Amino acid sequence: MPRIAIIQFPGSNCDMDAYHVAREVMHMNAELVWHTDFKESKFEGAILPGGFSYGDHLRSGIIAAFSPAMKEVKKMNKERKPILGICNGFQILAEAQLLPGALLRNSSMRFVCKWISMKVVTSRSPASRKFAKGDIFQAPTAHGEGNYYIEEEKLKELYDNDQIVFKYCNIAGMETPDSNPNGSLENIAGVCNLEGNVIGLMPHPERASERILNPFKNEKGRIVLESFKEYLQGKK
Amino acid sequence: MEKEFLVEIVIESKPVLKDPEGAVIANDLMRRHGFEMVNGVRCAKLLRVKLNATDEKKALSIAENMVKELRLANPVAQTYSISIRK
Repeated sequence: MPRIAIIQFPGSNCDMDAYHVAREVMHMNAELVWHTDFKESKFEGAILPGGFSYGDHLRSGIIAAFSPAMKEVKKMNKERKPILGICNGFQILAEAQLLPGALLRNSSMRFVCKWISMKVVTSRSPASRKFAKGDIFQAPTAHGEGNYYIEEEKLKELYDNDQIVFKYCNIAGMETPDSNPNGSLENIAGVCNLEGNVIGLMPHPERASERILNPFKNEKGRIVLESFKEYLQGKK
Repeated sequence: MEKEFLVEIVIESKPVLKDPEGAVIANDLMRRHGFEMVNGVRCAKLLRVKLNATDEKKALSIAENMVKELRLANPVAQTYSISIRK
């Protein structure tokens, strides 16, 4: 079975959640790897978990973006291996310029910790291929800097190139200001790169992958990891 | 001969972006409490960097390169300015 790395940075704190779901729920061949030890050639894919790498100093993700692991992740990207960044992992991928845009301070200026609904905008990414376009699911958010921003002309490119993967919405699927937890431009919750192999999202699907943890009594967050697993196995 | 310079790097959001913290400081603190002449506030981050260089010009160019190479300001959303503190 393809090996995947869950890369631990100083300050990662959702690494064990991702590891638990990958191994115990998804039965994937996942390993925890310290960021200075990560060698991309040993793995077929990587997950950058959530947390507060380097204390979020200067900007969330910027210091980890210069970690030796990110040189390896960039090589991994050149080989078009799948890379999933969750929360701080998304911030790191954006700061490392593997994903477009930036994650700014939440517009409320507050840390937001709540369950949100999001809808699937495209099923072309390794984290959304088992969803249908328009599917709605819930996952928790927990971040202070998740306010997605990109310049206007680049936003158009995101739409033209089908790079917006998830958007915040209400339970009925409407993209309302109330359903946007952090002020993200156009309710954007997750994006992928042009090639579609790198994907980042602010909410935590790994914490919505088991019914017992999910107040909506479903396990749809699991579909994100199921998608990732299927992509790794090379299924068309 | 190299000597130490104190370089100040100010990093702030692009003007096109909202700055909720600056807006609250301007409206709910300054303007509401007797400083109606305040037209706006933008919050920024200040890095006061001590570094060695041969002269001021060199110190500024080192700081400029550092901001770009280490992305101290995120070009997607931020601008920066650099000055020497005497």
